Amino acid sequence: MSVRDEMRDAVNLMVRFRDAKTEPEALDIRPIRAAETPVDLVAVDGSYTFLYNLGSMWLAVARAAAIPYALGEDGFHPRPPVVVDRAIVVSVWEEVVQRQSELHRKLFEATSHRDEQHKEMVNEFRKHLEGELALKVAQEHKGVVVALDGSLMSIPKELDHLEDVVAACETNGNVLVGVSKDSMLHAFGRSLPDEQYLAAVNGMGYVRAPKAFEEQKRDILYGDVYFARLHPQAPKWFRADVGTFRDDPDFVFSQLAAHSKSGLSLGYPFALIEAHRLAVLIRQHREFLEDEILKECARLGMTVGEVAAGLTQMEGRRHGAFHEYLDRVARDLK
Amino acid sequence: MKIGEVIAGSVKEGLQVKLQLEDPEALRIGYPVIVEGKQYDFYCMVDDIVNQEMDIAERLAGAEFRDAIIPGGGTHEGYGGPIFYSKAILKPIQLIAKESGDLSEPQTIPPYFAEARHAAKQDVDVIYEVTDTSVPLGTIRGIEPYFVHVDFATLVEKPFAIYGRTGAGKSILNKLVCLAILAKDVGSVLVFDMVGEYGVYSRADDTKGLKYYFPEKVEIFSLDPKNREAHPFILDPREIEPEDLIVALQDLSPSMVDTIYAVHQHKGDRDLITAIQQATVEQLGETLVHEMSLNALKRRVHRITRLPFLREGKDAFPQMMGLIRQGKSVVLDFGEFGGETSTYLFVANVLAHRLYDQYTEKSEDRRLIVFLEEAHKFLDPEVARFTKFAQLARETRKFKLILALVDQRPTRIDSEIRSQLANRLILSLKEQTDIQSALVGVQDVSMWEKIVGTIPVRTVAVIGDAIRVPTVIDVMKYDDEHVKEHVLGRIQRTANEMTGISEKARKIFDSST
Repeated sequence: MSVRDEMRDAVNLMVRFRDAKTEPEALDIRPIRAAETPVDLVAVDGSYTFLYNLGSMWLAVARAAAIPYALGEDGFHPRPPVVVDRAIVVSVWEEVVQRQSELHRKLFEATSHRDEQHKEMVNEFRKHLEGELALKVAQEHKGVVVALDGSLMSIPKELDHLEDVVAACETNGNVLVGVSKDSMLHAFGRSLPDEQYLAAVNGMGYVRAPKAFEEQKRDILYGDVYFARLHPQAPKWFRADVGTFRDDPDFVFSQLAAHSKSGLSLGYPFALIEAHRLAVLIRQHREFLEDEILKECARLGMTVGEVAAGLTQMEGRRHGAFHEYLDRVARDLK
Repeated sequence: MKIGEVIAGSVKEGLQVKLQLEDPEALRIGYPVIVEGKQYDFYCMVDDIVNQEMDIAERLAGAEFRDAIIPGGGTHEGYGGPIFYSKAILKPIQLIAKESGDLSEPQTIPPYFAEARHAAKQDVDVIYEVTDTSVPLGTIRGIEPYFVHVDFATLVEKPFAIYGRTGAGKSILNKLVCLAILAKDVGSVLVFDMVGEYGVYSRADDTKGLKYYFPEKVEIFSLDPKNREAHPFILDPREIEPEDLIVALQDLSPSMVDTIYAVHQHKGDRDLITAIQQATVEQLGETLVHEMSLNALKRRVHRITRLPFLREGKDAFPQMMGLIRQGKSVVLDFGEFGGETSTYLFVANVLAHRLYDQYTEKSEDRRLIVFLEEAHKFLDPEVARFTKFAQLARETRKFKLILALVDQRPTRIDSEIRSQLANRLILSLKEQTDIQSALVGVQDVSMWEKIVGTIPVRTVAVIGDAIRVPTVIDVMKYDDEHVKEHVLGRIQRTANEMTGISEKARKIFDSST
């Protein structure tokens, strides 16, 4: 069988899967009415960048950012943001990890089965930092919406602070939501991811994911899973996990919808865009941070070649690594 | 009020400021802005205002939103200010040392994120000096109502120019400048009043003239014999020089010009005009003149001979000079001849000739400022060599005879003469060549080109040593209230008013006794 035959068969199979007529579960889509006097919304997001690689050790910095927004008739107005930057050394070499802190060991263990473990460790550290900041926000604000980037699921449980965040939000009367920018869930049991499946449904509304799905995730999930189109002109449905006010989703989505009226991001909370922009700024600081590394390496008596060879790209790959050379050759040959 | 922060800059190119204004229309080219450095306040002018190209704006433009918050300068604030923001390009003009208040030229730049704000009264107070001889011409743009003073003693030390297209407000500005000179008594003025604007009342718009505000200081001479209220202006034909005719009759061919000089050499005791009228080819010789040229010249000279003020009699010039020596100013009213350019050119050039001789040979003490409207007609490179005005512009500042050019076409004024100007008061100009000519030799010329090309009418860019820093000024309203309050000053007003009050009191007192 030639590769052409294989491709033809594959396409046939894909279309058959897509058109599979399983009995659809009726969708209970509830209408949303945007709140006329919305409460403030505090958006939390995080980011990281690798800077330096030495053997099996990587140096990275992570940032968590929280930005409160008041929404009035005249638009979106931020209050002063909170930004937390932290550096971390992660290692995939157990002997090194054993000489590091408890946090490092937990990060190592939680990611030991994953590919590119150094990236996973820093990503979990970023979530850890975000969780700490979300907890601070939940404790310091009352009667606001705390919107986190991503789902309200934690893996591993012991590293983030979601349980404490939920508790603090409940104490202070805060709505807690986690909004996922992209979700590939198949909670509705379709061949299409839920977001794509719901794309055919017009208008503004929200729908809860099947209970069966939530039950499967209950041990890692801190809330109820919904999909919502928060504005009639929104380009897509977003997954939104609701951590508090779980008995009043109408209220939760009316608040979220009000904060999602920006013409810049119809159907997605504007504050989360700004929190994201603020978080990823850490990547633009690389040059400044690299300078610090170079100075310290020089002070430690390292050679220029050794230092320069260790500088990495954002994702932790060394500059000048062989794959970069291959990438360039591939590009040039196009 | 804070308007933004510095995001880039260079000493040569100026500063870029990210604006935090909801509406960029709140700022205009030429507005003064202070950038707060660490050691200095940078006194800047707005050179340009820019909405930079943004991909997101391009994508959103034309989109129809329903029940949404439309993105705009004020509706979407990010962590670093408005998402959609404008930039201002600022040109530092002066540095003000924070501790001492000393002023210096801008030789450095402020740090990143230095705060930019509208200039306030206390900032401009440091910049603009009020002296015994300074008078405001109007308010500074962007901080109304701050009246900016120009030093008129400095202004009248050297030749200066008032440029502006038709309708830009030259006459009003010219009147204010004349009044300020008289108010501060830094010199006398001689104004060639073509359309009757400068006497007691303007014949054009009934506004008050120089003599209204300074009845004792201003004397009016008139070319029009019917005007009985003015001194009659008589010009003795014996004073006419060949160059006077060449300038007055600007359509002379080279051979006609040669003929004038030939006649001048052979005129004997006769005046030049009579000599031309009586000249024949036989008398002068065929080698010097041609029949056709001579006849053509006679026809053209006839335009001059019919002028009623050109006659033997008591020449007005010595009388004018006597008045000027007494500290008086002269308005020469052209009356019915106001529409005749050749008459204006002729009279102005004859007087220029005599003034030049008088000031250079007899060392007059009283400073005289000659306002020359339509200056390009005297100072066009083609004509300038025949007029005394070019020499006046170049040479006479040491003799206290100062030329003030008033013109709408600076590009047609000889470049060497333009380079002699120590101060320029530039109103709106539209022709790019005129803008460039008006601004030759000015620092930051590209900024000033933009300003002069875009300022509205009755707004003037004042550039030169009579003002501390080049400034864009909204020319003050020309009415009694403003002139008395800001130009004549309280002392003058009080004196006038006191006269009126004492007169009233006398009448009341007389009627009651």
